[in-house]
Amino acid sequence: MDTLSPAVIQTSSDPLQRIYRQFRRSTSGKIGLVLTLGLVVLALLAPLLRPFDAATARNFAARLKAPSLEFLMGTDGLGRDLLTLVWYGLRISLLVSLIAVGIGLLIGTLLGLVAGYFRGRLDTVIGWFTDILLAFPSVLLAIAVATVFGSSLRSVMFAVGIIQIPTFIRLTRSMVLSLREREFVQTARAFGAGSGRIIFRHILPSSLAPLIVQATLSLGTATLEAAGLGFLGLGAQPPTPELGTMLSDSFRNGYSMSSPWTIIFPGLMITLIVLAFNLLGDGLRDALDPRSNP
Amino acid sequence: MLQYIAKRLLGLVPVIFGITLLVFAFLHLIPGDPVTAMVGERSTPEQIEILRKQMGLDQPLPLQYLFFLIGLLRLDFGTSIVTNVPVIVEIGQRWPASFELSVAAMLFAVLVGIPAGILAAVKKDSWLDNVAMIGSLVGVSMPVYWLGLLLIYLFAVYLGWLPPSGRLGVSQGFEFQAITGFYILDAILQGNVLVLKDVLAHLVLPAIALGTIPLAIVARLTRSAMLEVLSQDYIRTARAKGVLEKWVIFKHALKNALLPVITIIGLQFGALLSGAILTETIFSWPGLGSWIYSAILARDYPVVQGGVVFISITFVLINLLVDLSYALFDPRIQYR
Repeated sequence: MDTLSPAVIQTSSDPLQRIYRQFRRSTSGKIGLVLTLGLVVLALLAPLLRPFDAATARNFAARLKAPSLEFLMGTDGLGRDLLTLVWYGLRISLLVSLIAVGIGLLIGTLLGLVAGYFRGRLDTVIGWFTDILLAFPSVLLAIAVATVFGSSLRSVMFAVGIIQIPTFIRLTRSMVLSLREREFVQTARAFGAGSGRIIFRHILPSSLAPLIVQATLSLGTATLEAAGLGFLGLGAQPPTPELGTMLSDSFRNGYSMSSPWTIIFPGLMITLIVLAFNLLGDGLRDALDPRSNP
Repeated sequence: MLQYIAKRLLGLVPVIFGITLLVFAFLHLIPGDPVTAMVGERSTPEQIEILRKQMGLDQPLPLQYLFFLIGLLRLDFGTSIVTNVPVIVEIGQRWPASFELSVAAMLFAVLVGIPAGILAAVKKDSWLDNVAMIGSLVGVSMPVYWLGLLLIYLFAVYLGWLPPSGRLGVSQGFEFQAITGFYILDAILQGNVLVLKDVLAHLVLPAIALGTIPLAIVARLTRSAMLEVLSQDYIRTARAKGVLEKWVIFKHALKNALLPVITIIGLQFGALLSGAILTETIFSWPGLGSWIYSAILARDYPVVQGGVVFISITFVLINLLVDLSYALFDPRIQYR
């Protein structure tokens, strides 16, 4: 009788503990979590550790200085300390990708839930909308949206958010299609639960795992796309220290080749952020959704 | 099969219709008067009015959209305001450059990615596997334009091995005539080794930059597909029969592992052909991507409108072709 101790039964049936155990086994997940947390803490601490005002910070006497003890990452064309700029660029990148993925997740999940649950004509229209959004290469679509709303950080968030929508529609819809036929949903319906209750209390919670994984991975692509728009000059305008805008500044003003540090460090920061989200997403997928791992 | 193709082509009609509608709507949502933006603030109201009439902008919106659609059906994509060249002519001039670059990038991705994936799968958990997988993860995490700039700095500026931009060294005074627009093909047709070398040298850096993301994706997918196939019974049987390991890998396993890889290659190719905007801008590559980008900056609306529609339709058609080609590689798939 001792072999079936309650503790064993409890750990194997508690989903949170199972997820935690799975996640701990994933090396990439652990590295990703540490990196992501580290970057978030750094971003939050920036104003405390290194106060900076984008509008006034410039020092023409120290233009384009190579990395040294005084300026660890060198300075840019306005003589601003690159370390500070990259640090604040991290803040902006995290904020933009979070809001953009938030927009995509919210709208995409809602449309996916509606399409998958109600089927019929609504599903056809939403499917058509998804196909059209997917027919545009994402950069092109983002450029179009950003052009309409003007060059600003806000329009970047919006543009990148819109191109995330179809992914979430497809994902949610496919999950709803299989969930709505499951017994627990049928039971809820038999007990007289309304559509809203079934969707938000029964179906949505069961679809959360893949959505969380996708959202994490989308944070990576959103960061890349937002920086890409910045690089094309459609995002934040100088002197805002946005990472893509910094690269564009250096490239367009022709000192990217003579002062390579002005491109190396901002690009490295973008890569680090995306890498952190990708690693974390991989680890979460292993833990939350083991079957979908390719 | 034919019936299936017809059905899928028919299914594209509403999507393509939606694309044109969305592009049209976008361009008319842009704040500010496009005509004023085109001719500049200093032009007289009469000039603006003439241009407005010329472009049909004085008509009601639904009518404008109808004209736009009829034009598309006649392959009339409008005329560039900046160069005064018909958009379709410019597309014809520029797409070979984009196509050549995309093929080169894909070749790079496949030739490096598939062997790397196989090696990583066969030597699972070895340092080789780790290096390949970390490398591919970093590859998908890097901004393409950043990688492009680093490549230019290292190989063109610092080492001086390769040209930094463009498609052909203009200063070298080549006697070269573009016939097809595919410079590699043109150089071979004219038997011009010097030009061929120069064209290839110009192609290397942008192809590597553009091909890195597909390379990483192909390598990861080849690895996981190989791992799955290698764990199956028929592989064990082949090994038990005493088949040489290299035959097991290349003949028995690879053939079946390649199906998902081919799919992703097709889909990535569609994305490359259209998504090369950033790479083409960095390398001043005279393709469709850099053209549309400069048109956006110059507010050359007919070019943006026509170019985006053309690229999106190409993208949709390539994806359809990829879908249809499954049958060629996997006879188990039945079309209904």
